[in-house]
Amino acid sequence: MIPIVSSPLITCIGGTSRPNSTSERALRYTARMVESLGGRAEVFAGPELILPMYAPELPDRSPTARLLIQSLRACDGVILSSAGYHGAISGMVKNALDYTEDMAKDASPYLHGRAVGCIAVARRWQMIGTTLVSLRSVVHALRGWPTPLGVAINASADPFDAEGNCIVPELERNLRTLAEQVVEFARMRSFFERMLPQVQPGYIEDALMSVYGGFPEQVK
Amino acid sequence: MSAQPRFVCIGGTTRAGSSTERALRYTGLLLEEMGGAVEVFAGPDLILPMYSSEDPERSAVARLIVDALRRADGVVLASPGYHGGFSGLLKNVLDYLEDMSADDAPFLRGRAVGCIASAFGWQAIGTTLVALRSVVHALEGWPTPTGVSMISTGRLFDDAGRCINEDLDAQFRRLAGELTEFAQRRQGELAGR
Repeated sequence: MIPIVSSPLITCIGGTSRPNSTSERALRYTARMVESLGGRAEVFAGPELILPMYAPELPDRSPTARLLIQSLRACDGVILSSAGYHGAISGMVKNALDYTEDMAKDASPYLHGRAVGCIAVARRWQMIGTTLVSLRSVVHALRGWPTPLGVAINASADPFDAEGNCIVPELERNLRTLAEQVVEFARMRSFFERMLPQVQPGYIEDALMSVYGGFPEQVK
Repeated sequence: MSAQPRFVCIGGTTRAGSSTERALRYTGLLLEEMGGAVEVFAGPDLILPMYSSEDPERSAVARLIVDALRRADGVVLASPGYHGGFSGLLKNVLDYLEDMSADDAPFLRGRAVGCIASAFGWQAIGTTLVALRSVVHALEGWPTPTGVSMISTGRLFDDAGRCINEDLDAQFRRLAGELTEFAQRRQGELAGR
């Protein structure tokens, strides 16, 4: 057997401007799950996500913004965790994701080829549902693969203890499953690319080229 | 080399040959051209009895659809936007997946699912696409990054069923490519186990 990539890098982004928010703890707990599955997790959470408003026309990038994009470029999978603000993801998390525009011209643009686990946290179930849908819609726009499971957390009862352990068994299972789906997708992809030489990056474009003689400009 | 990936395409409206159905069949054609084996369930064939879990009777078509989905490595769903959501016709078909709840690979687990939404206006297309994807998540499937948004006015397909609108065609090709890649990965992984 050819070994598969043993330790995929998973970039974890989320939380609120308040340190140690429920969405941040959910993110950090999921990052621990990723590591327990043999993955590497890089976490960008809470106040460090207070980045300047993304402005594509300005070339300056803050050190954190640079680190974030560097991590996303290198990663094999992503975890996103947002609080529900007025029924959608927070502007802070969205602004961090807006920086992926700097990856538009990469060989692997935006979140292309990565599974993305989404976590939505709010105090009312309706807001949690709409927040999860808005996260997934953004992932699609960024060409990622939202994992089948999205995790919905009702923050009205704190599900984490002081050490960051999840004390609600069902939620614990869900966060573990989310981490598994992201890590497994990353491993499956690398397995596939190593085992089947005809399926290298660019395979689809090559196949289309042979069938149609060309590949149109990217879909808007 | 892995086996031929198998795809099941489901969609259309009660009217045979609707533009939604043609979008579905064209995607099936692209999947075949990329090496897949494709089964299509479309249009009036989808008029099934209302799903009721407590009634064990299943129509012949309902049985065929569930059997095909059990074998599938990937799925395509196509619906028009009816009042901002996808049609009850398609939702009722998907409700039959409850019969797969006790399978080893229940519902759409492990399969990529390409979603196609057609309507006369962009707003309805957006909400229809989101609704389709939300159901795919509930069924444990992987919605492909690309979802096809189709404004169903004007002539979009030629008599051979090929898409003649360049931008739309690019979406279909991208969708079929993503489904093929995922299905081949799935087969590779199953074979490697």
